[in-house]
Amino acid sequence: MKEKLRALLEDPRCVKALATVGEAGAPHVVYKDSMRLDADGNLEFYEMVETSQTGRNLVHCLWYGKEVAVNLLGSGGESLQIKGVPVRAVVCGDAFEAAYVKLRERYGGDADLSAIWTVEVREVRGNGLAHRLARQRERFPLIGHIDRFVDRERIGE
Amino acid sequence: MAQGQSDWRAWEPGLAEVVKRHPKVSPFVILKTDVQRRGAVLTERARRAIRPEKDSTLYRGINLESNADIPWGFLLRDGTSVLCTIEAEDPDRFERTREPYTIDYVDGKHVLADEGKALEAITWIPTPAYTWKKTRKGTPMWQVLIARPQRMDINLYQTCDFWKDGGMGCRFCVAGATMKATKHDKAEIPDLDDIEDAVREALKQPGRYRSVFLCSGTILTGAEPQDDEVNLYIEMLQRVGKYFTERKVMSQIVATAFTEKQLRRLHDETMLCGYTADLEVLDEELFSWICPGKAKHIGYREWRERLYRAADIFGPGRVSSGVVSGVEMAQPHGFSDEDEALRVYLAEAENLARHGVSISQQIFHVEPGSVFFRQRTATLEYLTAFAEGLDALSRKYGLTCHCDDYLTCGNHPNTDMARAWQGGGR
Repeated sequence: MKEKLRALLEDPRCVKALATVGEAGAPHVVYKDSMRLDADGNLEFYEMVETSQTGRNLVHCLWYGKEVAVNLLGSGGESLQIKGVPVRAVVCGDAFEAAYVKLRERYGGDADLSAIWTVEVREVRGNGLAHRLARQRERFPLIGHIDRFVDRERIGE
Repeated sequence: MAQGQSDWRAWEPGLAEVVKRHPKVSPFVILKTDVQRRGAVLTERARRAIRPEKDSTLYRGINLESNADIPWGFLLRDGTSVLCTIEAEDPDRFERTREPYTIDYVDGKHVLADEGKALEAITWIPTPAYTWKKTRKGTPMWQVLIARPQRMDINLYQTCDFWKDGGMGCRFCVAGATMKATKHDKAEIPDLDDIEDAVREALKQPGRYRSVFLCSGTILTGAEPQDDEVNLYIEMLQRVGKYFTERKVMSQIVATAFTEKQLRRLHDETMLCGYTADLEVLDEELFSWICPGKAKHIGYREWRERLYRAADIFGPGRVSSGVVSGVEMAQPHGFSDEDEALRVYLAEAENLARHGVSISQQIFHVEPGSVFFRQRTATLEYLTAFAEGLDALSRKYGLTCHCDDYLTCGNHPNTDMARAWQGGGR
């Protein structure tokens, strides 16, 4: 699964959604194009806006060990659902400054860097429709509309 | 009751218990508070793993001189700065009431530990790029400019006129002792050309600084009292300000309480955004005992009035007052009951908040060289409850602290917590 995750994160057309909650419990979803795997297999991405809701929520989750959710949707329709916990916010140092320079060069204007966030991956699972339906069928075979199991001939169709 | 290093844990709730009791306070902030209160000792192997070219160890300022291989602060993994006393292993080191934390080096990482148990991996404050360079006059730049993780610090008058007025220095302060110990190495006021050279060089390091901070001991002289101090700030701020395209750039001074006329000059003639004048103690009688110089030359009520005027001029959330949290328990005149102290302190903090002035909590820790070096510091439970109360007041009155938060300062447990809410939204 880790290789699938890496491949998806390296797909330049992959859509990378991050969902967080803060102290008020309100969900908040953003896209994090910068998300990648670090050397330890954790998710790493930039938060560019110091006062953003995402930044505040990530702080809340790091402080209190709360999970965040990530959904990756690749260019071929493949999808992964990830649960993890923020474990680090880098706010200074060589890596921070290098990222800051890169972002300034790319975006210019008011582009800034608040922190480089690391989310420790706790769970990864396939999230495509076929995968999810098959998983449910395996775990809960009785759930769903029963007409799917009808013998069409016997009911005269 | 006297309690020594061996038994203090039996008398007060420890870190884990305080974290459990205060679910609204960041556990990282509580840990920081405890480290600031107790200090830390660097094991020999941890010391050998310090890389001064990367890990900031050099420091020359009002309250500290460090040219050894021991850092003066570190960061927790959430980005929280911990500026604290860090000492080498030494059986003869100054003994405080509670034993310090340990910083060890395990599996290639520096870790913070207590009672032999590793608590958190830490990283050191990065050495700024200007450190090894010299000014045009040949002064090493580290001697005239300090770099916190995201802030540059200029210390101007590196002593204090209250200390020069026998017995009038603040009783917790080490500025007088620091100056006495280093007077052969540094001037009372560093050369402003040197500072300007260092600032100009520092600004060449992208992503390193979010704010410019200036601090000075009190200067009582001038056409009107403190005018010389104000003029010193104005000159330095103008020297720095000319390097920016914007008229106002994130900046803060921690200074004496100035008159409205002096405050207006600072606001109108410089880049300055944030102003802090430290009451240190939120009780008039204790203020007079603990800060006799401030009491004699300005007085508690006048100091507070000047803070209110400052908030009118700079705006709410841009003016604060530092409190040396826990010094109010100093004996024989301080509070003997922490619940009573908390009630009195939060009531006065709310009074200030109503006028747009927030409180910046600094943790009282005893240091040799201060009058209070034998005092006992407050419990972690008390310090955490105060931080929680201050955070609640800031939220209630909408007092953000962008000029003095975890990045633009990093020395106040209560303002460290503002990063979880300031910025609006839900």
